[in-house]
Amino acid sequence: MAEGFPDPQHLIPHRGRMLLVERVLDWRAGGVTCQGRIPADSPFALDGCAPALVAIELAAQTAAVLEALSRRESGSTAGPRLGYLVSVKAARFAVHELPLGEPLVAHVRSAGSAPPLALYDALVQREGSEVMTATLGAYLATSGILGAP
Amino acid sequence: MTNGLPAGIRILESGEDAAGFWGRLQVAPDSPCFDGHFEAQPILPGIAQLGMVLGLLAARGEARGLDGVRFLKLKRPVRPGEVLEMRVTRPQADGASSFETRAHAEVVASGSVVTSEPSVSNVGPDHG
Repeated sequence: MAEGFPDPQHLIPHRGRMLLVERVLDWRAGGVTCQGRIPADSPFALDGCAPALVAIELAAQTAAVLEALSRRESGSTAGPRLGYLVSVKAARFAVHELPLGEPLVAHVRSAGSAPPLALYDALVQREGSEVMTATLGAYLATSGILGAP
Repeated sequence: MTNGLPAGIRILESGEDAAGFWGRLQVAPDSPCFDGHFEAQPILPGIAQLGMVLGLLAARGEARGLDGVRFLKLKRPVRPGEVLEMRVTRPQADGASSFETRAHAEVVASGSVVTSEPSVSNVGPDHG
């Protein structure tokens, strides 16, 4: 866990091989940066790689971290809320595949909301180079105890 | 790697017609896609739709890598055990294909993707 930031497992409901975010690197108003990696036992893994589309999932989980941190800042004591990834727009991939187990960095910024819908601009990098950009849309439920974009 | 089909999702049958490719896909109740997504309420990760597009294209001899997603709409969650019917149009000259996924005749996802011939070592930022 990065100093000053909660463990992502305390913020989002993803677990096991579907948990990609491993720590929060930075968080400020409207944006968050997280480090993650694709686990070796990912359901998308084949021959040591996974299709780069998995970067979308990392970005979506990072968006869920942003929502959770924002709720905490506003004083909410509720746990992770139910939410769904409902759209992806204008995603571009610089690579077709990503290696398993290597660090990736996801930058996600809020791009607007009309509750219960929210939009996020996302950038995923590996070794400082862009591997994916996209705009993600999520439906954020007003109640519930589990889930994330 | 050319086949993006996630573990625990199997193509039961597939074919092609004038519109493109079609497939019936079984989402196994114990697919690893549901492992931690989520414990109390398992749903198929939305990105699996994109993996199924790549998997169906590969199964029909059109192995492709994903260059972009113009749009993806996820209209309702896919639950363990569901059988899905997917249609994907043949990639156009610019690599664009559209797709639609149904379960029990209900549209669960649709989108437009851009694909290209797979890159052999296209795994890092050093590769163009």
